[in-house]
Amino acid sequence: MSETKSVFEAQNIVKRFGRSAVLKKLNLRLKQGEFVSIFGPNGAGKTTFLKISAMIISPSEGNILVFGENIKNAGDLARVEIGFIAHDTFLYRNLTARENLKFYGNIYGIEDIDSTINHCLESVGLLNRAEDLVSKFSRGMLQRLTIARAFLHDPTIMFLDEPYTGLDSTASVFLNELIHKFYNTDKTGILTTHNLDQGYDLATRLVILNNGRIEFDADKDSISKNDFRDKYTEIISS
Amino acid sequence: MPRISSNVLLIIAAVLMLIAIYMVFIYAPTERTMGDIQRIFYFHVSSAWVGFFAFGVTFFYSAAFLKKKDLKWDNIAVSSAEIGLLFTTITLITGSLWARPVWGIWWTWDARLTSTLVLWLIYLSYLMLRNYIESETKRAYLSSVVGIIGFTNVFLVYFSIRWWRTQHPAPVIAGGSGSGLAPEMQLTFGFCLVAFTALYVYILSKKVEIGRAGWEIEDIYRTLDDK
Amino acid sequence: MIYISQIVSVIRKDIIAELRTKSTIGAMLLFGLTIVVVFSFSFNLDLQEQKNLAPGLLWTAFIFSAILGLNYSFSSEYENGCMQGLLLSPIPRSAIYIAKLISNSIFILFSELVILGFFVWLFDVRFTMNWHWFVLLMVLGTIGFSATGTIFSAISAETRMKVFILPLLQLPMTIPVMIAAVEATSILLGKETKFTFDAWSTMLLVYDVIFITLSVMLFEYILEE
Repeated sequence: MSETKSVFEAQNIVKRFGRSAVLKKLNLRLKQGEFVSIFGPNGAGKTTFLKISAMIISPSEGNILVFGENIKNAGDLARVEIGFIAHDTFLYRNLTARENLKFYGNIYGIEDIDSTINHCLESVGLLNRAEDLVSKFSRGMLQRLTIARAFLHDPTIMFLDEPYTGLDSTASVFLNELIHKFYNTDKTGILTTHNLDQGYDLATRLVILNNGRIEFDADKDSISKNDFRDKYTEIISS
Repeated sequence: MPRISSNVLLIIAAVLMLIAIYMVFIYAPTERTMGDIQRIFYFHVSSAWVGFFAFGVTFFYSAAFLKKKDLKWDNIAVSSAEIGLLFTTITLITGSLWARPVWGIWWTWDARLTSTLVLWLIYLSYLMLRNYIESETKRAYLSSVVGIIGFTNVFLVYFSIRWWRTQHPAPVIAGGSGSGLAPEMQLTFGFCLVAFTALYVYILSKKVEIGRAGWEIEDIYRTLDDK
Repeated sequence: MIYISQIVSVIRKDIIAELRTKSTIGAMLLFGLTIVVVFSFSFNLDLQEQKNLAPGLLWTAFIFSAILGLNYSFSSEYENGCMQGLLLSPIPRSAIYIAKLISNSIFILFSELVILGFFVWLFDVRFTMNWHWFVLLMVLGTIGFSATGTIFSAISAETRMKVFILPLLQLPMTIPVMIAAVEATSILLGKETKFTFDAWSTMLLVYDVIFITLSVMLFEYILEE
């Protein structure tokens, strides 16, 4: 199809909770440097799809391929390629910021861990608070540390599940900058969001997920924001 | 089609059970020392066997669910556990009824008795656990794990209790060397085991059907909601 | 190699957090002390009865305080969605179980040692036994509690009635551990039994091996949705 190889591929993903299917044969293939925004109403299966893509849970049917290799064969180490930001912080309250990052760093097997942590903390502006307990952090600081945690192991594929809900304005400006930096280095990502404006602006490709199916999939260049907005309303209300 | 086979099962189980009752009360001779009370043993041992067998089935289908991730296996596992619990309850009650006149006590901390009680507790907690999990899939995963660990533990429970307190009754029932058991009694025992197993298979098929019917009703509600 | 270093990281994290808050160990110790005090009111032990009853009372106090601790073993993972953070990371599911098993065993062993101290002190226990062997029993028995306790604690953390489900699952399941530990302790105190200390400790070892193996195989399914 194209000369650039696929970084991430979801093949015929089906996920059933109980007996009802939340995802019905989903296919998505990402090339290097693509940044996809997935839109869709609540219950469309966006979060479930991201959790399966990030290998947090396994699909009922179908395969996930990372750099062309099926993760069923690649094993747990395939997860080092993946970064994830969700509404939850994934941070331990009773550890300091540094201890949290050190813990995750060790689990990811990062070499040269101390300088990586310092670099990450500095880039989110928390270096002077490194030794403070996370339970003492303000909301904004927590969000910045969450971002530092997610980028700590320098993932090649980034999943962002509604990252803007609950972010204060400084944190979301900050996250935007990071995302731009991230995909300017030719890395790949998927973002789920309700917010059409934000999602459209950040993406290189637009996908609409409805009732567990992909009902729209196009490069951003091929459709204007207003046309896309109309398309979205049309699909959701049908 | 399933209705026909279920009716066949019903007829087989009913006929076998009627013959079993005849054999237990009329065909089998009265035991010399214990008297008529010994007759309870035919049903007691058969219930114990079915209880244990049913939990074995739960173990097997719990593993099948984890392998195939299909809820129909979980439905069989839980159905069998419920029946197993019923028959284990019968075992405990009939055992107690027998022990009172024969041993002079309702209960003794003997290996078989106590392991059966522990078995009963384990599967009661298995069923309780299921009540406290909302998601159907999650419920199946978690209870399958308990079903597997619980059944494995039964053997350890049995051996530990047997080492701890061995009272006796093993030779009376097992009767490997025909320990004083008349041929008619042996035949009755054997027949009761078969009849109870047939009864178990029939009840299981019904329970599994009920589980499926529940799903169908849910599906109907769901389509109605969609409209 | 990374497997081991991942396990060590989780254990280290649990210990750092526990040393900072002392909430789980504190609760276990207080509960253990309370049980021993209640026992000392309920049973008035002379020297002969001590030998008969002490093993059972001691191990009962151990398992109840252990269950209290196990109830909170996964609570830190479920705050802020940390468990998802772990599942997302390249740590194998079985390594999470092993790490939790080890940190639970450490916490439980520590509290057992203190409870043993309370027990000797409050009951004015004056028996002599080979304490080396008793420590071996404590280690084997504690690993046994934790082997099933850790997986059941993960199960109960996923249910609505966490605190209530764990003892319901755990207590019948640890009956072999209780029997073996109590009998072996009685033997150390000089009770004559049909089976030897070695037989009972082997049973504990077998229990530990079986349930650690099974849990390692089954743990990933608990985390599925």
